[in-house]
Amino acid sequence: MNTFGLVLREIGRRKAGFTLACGAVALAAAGVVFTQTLSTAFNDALRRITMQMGRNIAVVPTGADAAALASGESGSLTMDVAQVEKLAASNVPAEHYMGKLQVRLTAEQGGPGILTGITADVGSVGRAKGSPKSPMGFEVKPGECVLGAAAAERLGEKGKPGARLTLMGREFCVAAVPGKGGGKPRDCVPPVGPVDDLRIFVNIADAQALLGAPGKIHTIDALGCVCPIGGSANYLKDIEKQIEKTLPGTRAVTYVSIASARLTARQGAELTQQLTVGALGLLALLVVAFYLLADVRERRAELGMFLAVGFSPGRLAALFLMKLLLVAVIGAALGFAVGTVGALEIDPSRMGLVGIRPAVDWMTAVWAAAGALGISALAGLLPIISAAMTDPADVLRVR
Amino acid sequence: MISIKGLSRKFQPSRGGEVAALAGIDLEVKSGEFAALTGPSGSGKTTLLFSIGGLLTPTAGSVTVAGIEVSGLSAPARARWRAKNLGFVFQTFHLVPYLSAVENVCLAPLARGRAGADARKAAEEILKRLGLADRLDHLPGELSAGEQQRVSLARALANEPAVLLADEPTGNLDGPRAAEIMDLLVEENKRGQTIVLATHSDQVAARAGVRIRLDRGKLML
Repeated sequence: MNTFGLVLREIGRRKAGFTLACGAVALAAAGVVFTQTLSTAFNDALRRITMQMGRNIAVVPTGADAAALASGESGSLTMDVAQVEKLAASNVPAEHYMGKLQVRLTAEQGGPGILTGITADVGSVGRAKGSPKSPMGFEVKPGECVLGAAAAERLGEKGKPGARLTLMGREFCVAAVPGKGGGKPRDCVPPVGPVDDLRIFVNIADAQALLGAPGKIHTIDALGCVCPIGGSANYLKDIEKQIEKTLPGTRAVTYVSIASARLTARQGAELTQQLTVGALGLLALLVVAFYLLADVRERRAELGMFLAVGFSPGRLAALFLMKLLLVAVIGAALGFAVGTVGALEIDPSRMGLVGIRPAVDWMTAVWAAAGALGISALAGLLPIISAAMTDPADVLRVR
Repeated sequence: MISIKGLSRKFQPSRGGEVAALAGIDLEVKSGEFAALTGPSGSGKTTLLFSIGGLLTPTAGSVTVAGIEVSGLSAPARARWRAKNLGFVFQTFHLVPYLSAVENVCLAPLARGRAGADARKAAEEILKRLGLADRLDHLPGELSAGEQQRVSLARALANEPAVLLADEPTGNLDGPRAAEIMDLLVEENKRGQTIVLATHSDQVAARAGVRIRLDRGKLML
């Protein structure tokens, strides 16, 4: 019989308490895994939805009418396309930068519609640090055009992929929009709003050539981070200031409704998760702490005998630490299994939540294990100190 | 073997003034001796026994056992020293209820860092020597009081200690069982084991070679 065997034998005698402690830790771990798995799926769906809502920041030259540009009007003031790269290389907490140059088309020019030259999606937070995001949206090759939903509807068969379209006297080939994640290509951009649906997207170089503005753009659209920076309540304004500092001679405008929708949804999900996990964690901590305190109290005489036989106080502490480790490992494993199965069994579509697809998330196993260890360590602190400080002379004396 | 000089031990009860459990004890116990500490309840027998075993630190004076000044050791060092040099027998046995007789005996070698088959074999040998050959795998709850005290004695002897300390080892036993335990202790003493036993029974003390009487924390000569 070794020390670990001694611990196992002791657990075998007091199964109920040990099972209760493991159950409490498992419940907390399951809560972490369950909410994290659902939250990951929810955030993933939210990200997809909010990305469809479009970018939430527009950067325009100082003096330009940002509202007019947003409503599809032709711009008069321009800036260098190189500004897109400069902004992407900065540490401004935004991503998915895209330069735009646009003009309203008359019927003679191939309209009605808004000819919009776009750059590729460039840059993301930390791009300079080597963690680029996947591109958002689509690119348009030179000589091709991609139609917004309203433009495609107006053109009918003449706007199907492969058709030829003359815009401002130049011929373009209508291209399909690549399907997301290798999915089926679409004939045009899905409907997103009255202005964008009217757009006919072309490569930025083509637009610059047609408008006689080589190397120029009207706006840079970006997706601002929806995380309050440094706890600032006015973080959107902070991002705007950072952009304007990075690109002198420009003005940043935030579309607050899009940004706040993203933030509110994300914060709501995070708060619910934190409250659930916090409450379960506290419950587990209390159960494990009371279990161990009762254990130490019940075993005072036994601990005194161990000391008299020659076990050191540190070795007594080790007996309880081993037990705590078992509680944490068993609780975490059980919690991960229960939490994951529970999350996978949930069908969000029954609640009208479409596009939410929970999946096994192995990172939550790490979180569950870390949480279980943390709870066990905290819960065991006082009982273990109490065990190690047992006074053998006091507990072994017959009164 | 055991040298005690000017040993005092005071306690501070939660209510009332300071209590001197031991007051200036000077005592020598030679190797191979069987010494019985006697005296009425509260005379300081257990306090003296626990001081020799390093379970209590003296308020003043020193305790030296087998050339080591126990009172000067740190708690972990005292634990190591106990595992190597001491065996304890208690009035209420203090057997671990979820371990079999042989596993209870194995606790002593385990405390010394020995946990293999050899330790178990040695534990079985001692239990057989003490008449428990057919009780090796029984739990304490399945043994009589006399058998439990024999397991406790086997655990105390398992590490072949320099000194065996017994605190009222017959206190919870009836006459015949008490006599059996005393027979075993006398037998072990004959094998050369140094024993210090605390008892309030004159009958038990009479079996020891040396009687040391305590009263109110002082030696009565």
